[in-house]
Amino acid sequence: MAKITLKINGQDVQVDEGSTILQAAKEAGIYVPTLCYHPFLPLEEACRICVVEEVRRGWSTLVAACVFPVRQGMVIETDSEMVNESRRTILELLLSDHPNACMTCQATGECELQDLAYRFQVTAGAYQGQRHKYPVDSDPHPLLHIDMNKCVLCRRCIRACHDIQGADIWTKVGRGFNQRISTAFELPLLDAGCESCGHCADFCPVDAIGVRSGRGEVRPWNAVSGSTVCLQCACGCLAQYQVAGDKVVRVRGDFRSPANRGALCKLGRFNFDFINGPQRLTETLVRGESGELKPVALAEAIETTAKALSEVRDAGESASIGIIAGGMLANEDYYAAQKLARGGLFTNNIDHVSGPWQLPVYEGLSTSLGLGAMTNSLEDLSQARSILVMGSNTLEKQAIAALKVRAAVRGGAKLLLAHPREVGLGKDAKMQLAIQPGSEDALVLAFIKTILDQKLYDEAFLEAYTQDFDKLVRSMEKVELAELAEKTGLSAAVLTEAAQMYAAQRPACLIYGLETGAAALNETFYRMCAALQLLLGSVGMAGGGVNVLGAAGNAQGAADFGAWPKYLPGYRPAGQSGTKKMIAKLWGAELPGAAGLSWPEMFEAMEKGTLTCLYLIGVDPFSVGIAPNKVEAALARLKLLIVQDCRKTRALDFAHVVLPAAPFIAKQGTAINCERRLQKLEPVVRSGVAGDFELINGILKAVNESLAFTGVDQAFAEAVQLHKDLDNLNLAAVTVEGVQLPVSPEGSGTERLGLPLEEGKAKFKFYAARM
Amino acid sequence: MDCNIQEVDAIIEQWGAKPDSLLQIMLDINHRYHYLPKESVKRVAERLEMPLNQLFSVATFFKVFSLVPRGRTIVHICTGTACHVKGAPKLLDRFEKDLKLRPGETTADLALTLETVNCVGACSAAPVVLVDGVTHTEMSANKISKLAKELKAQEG
Ligand code: SF4
Ligand code: SF4
Ligand code: SF4
Ligand code: FES
Ligand code: FES
Repeated sequence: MAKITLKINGQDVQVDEGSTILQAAKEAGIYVPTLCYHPFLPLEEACRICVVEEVRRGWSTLVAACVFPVRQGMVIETDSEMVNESRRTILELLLSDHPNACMTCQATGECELQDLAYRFQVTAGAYQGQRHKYPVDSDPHPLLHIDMNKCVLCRRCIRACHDIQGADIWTKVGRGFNQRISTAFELPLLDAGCESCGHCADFCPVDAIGVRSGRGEVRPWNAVSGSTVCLQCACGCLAQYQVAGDKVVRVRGDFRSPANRGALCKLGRFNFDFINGPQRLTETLVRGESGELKPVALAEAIETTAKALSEVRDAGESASIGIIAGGMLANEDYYAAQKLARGGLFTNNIDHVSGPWQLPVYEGLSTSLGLGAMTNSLEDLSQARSILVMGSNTLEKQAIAALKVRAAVRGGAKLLLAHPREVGLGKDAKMQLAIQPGSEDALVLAFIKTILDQKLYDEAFLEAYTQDFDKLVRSMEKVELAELAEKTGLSAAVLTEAAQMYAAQRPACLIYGLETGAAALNETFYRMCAALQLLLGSVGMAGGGVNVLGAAGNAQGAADFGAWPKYLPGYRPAGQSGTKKMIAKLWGAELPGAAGLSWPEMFEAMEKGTLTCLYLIGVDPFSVGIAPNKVEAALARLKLLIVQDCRKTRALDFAHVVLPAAPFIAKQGTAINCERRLQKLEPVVRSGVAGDFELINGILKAVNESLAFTGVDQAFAEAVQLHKDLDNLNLAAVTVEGVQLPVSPEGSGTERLGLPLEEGKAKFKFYAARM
Repeated sequence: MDCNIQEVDAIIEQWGAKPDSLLQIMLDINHRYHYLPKESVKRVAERLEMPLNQLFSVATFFKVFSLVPRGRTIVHICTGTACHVKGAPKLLDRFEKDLKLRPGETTADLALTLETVNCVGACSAAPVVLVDGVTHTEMSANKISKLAKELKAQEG
């Protein structure tokens, strides 16, 4: 890009053509105040606090630095009398219509208006103008606190609500002095359709839009801030937690991770009751002779547990032991858990809650595309031209993906939304397909059928990058559109129209939400998704791909680090002799043979009485989708139930040992989000109890000391030796941006699945369709 | 007046359902109903595929638009400097006395709306009153009383 040289305060500055004066000043380390400007929002030029003096021959003008582009030879003064006079006037005017109640204001200490007034030493009272009087706390929103008396009309809220959330709730109303920020028809926020993402509160520079939590209780400087990855869904947002004592006060988006770039959802931002609330589990308990749970020392509980488990193992009954892990653990927790199961207790009965859903994703996609996970990056989704979203209420369950979809729609993409229920992206969809539950496979086949019949596919792409096209064609010959229509509950005409719309603009982007609850689709479904995308030439580029979003916070990490019955870390098949040899060398332990039980199979085995010892790590068995009476019956038959969790669940009623664990925000380790991004977890709160890793490692040590880890880092270092996609990854080199798997030996990540461009590289494979 | 969606659709059709036509469409609807019924604004947002909040912003920005019902006849009393000096306040008082109408208000039968305006550029003939855009010059309290009577009679 062409470079431009300009002078700022007498200093030569060189920047890219098209930069703004503000960017140039930043580059040169020169301060220019801003208020309406935000680096992660579109430009607005609403406040003009950023004015600088552009000096021309004999005269000069004031220009807004945040929007004004640089020109070759430009001469800029950022600190002249003219500039400062103008800035002070703007601030005086702002303060003349402001409550100036900093003593009691929640934003004090992090308010941008206050900081500007301080910097320029401007006080209220220079202008005695009319002043707005709006009601304080004017909206009944349960999470947000609105006080428009403090509004400086910067319109960041409007831009955040539009450009980041895509909800379009806030708007400017009226003109001149009567202009104010409100909603369409001045409805209360929730009635106007507010999605409670809280972005407006994050971006508001003052306390006009704030949050309710911590209000009047905690001053910002009495809280400490730290960032870690939110594990409440598979997007893996980097979030900044403000913590006072051991309580979370407020959560903000952290802009540094490409996963979310500062965005968060309602869950990540406001759902921290399980950390703060009375449901927190803090006591170590063991069920005594009398049948009551009694507090004991942690060491004693671990010893009791390990002894009981070892006895079962030593009696040759390892197959009656099972471990189920939750979806919000760290990679190292999963790795330790599977090592405990396999190496320590000689069983492959280890699974994580979303295992049965993640397994076919891996098996279907790794065979057809060579990458067994979401093929693209979250950011990529915004480049799509047509989009098919299936399988979850994406706006609630994987919000960041939904926001990218909305960004694509704003850019002209057509969205098709297929879900049995009314879901969050409805208002953005061109077509909503109310399909029968579990009929996504029929829908995808109908699309393939139509595209083949009407020759809507991308011939050049097929020729260049794929093989076995004829296999797919032949297998589709027998498939009838009418039959597929019946399965989906839609008419053949609607299916055809939808398929045509989907095929009309490219890249086409397929998104599958992987809602647990519903029956898991088999690997053929994912192969058909891959086939559909290949037909449309929409694999290997931004805006295309097969994007399966991940069923739980760290479901991808659980898979990569081997917390499931069929594969060891790095997707090494259980029971395979090569794997066994390699592990025996690494761990110094013998491995059990064939694949173990998935967790639904474990529940069946419990009912039959063949699985008698269960270790639950961060999972509430009453929320996995099995009928409560069946769960009760299964748990009641157990000889040993170990419940390890950060919150109390009904499982405690059946537990023999209860181990309190730290919540995810108190953990150190790593996690992998749906877009394969490995990110570091940093503890942002002191929890007072051990983390999952310490607890699992404690048991591991007691059942076989030689298997135990010296710490989280060592567990990671050991695991990466087993995973070719994490080949020798040096954790210390991973930045806050994380790194996307597969990671090359040099440590660089993979943003998206690429095209097989090189000669001799395996082409994408088509599989025969099966219904 | 109830808003008729077919009628709104016809207006949208006439200008084309695209964001560029927004102002013309809103002007026509405002003209047809003398205000912008809520349902019509929602319909336009839907048809033009524009966020409702943006339309609301536009509707509150321009003075021509009203979001509350307005009379079939709009009376503007000029309160610009010249008219003010020449007795506009007296005209307002008399109008309120005769028709119980203050600036910004509309009669219950939706016959009349009274508004003020800041100078219509006819200062030499102040004070000035506009009835549906037709200028009445050099008004007095008595003249406006007469005008009020006529307006009432017209509506019958
Ligand atoms: S919380 Fe989110 S959806 Fe609601 S008004 Fe704010 S930005 Fe918009
Ligand atoms: S509410 Fe906050 S973000 Fe919105 S315009 Fe006012 S000051 Fe700016
Ligand atoms: S989108 Fe997911 S990862 Fe991001 S804040 Fe929400 S729950 Fe957390
Ligand atoms: S910061 Fe530049 S105009 Fe507001
Ligand atoms: S002041 Fe009334 S016409 Fe100018």
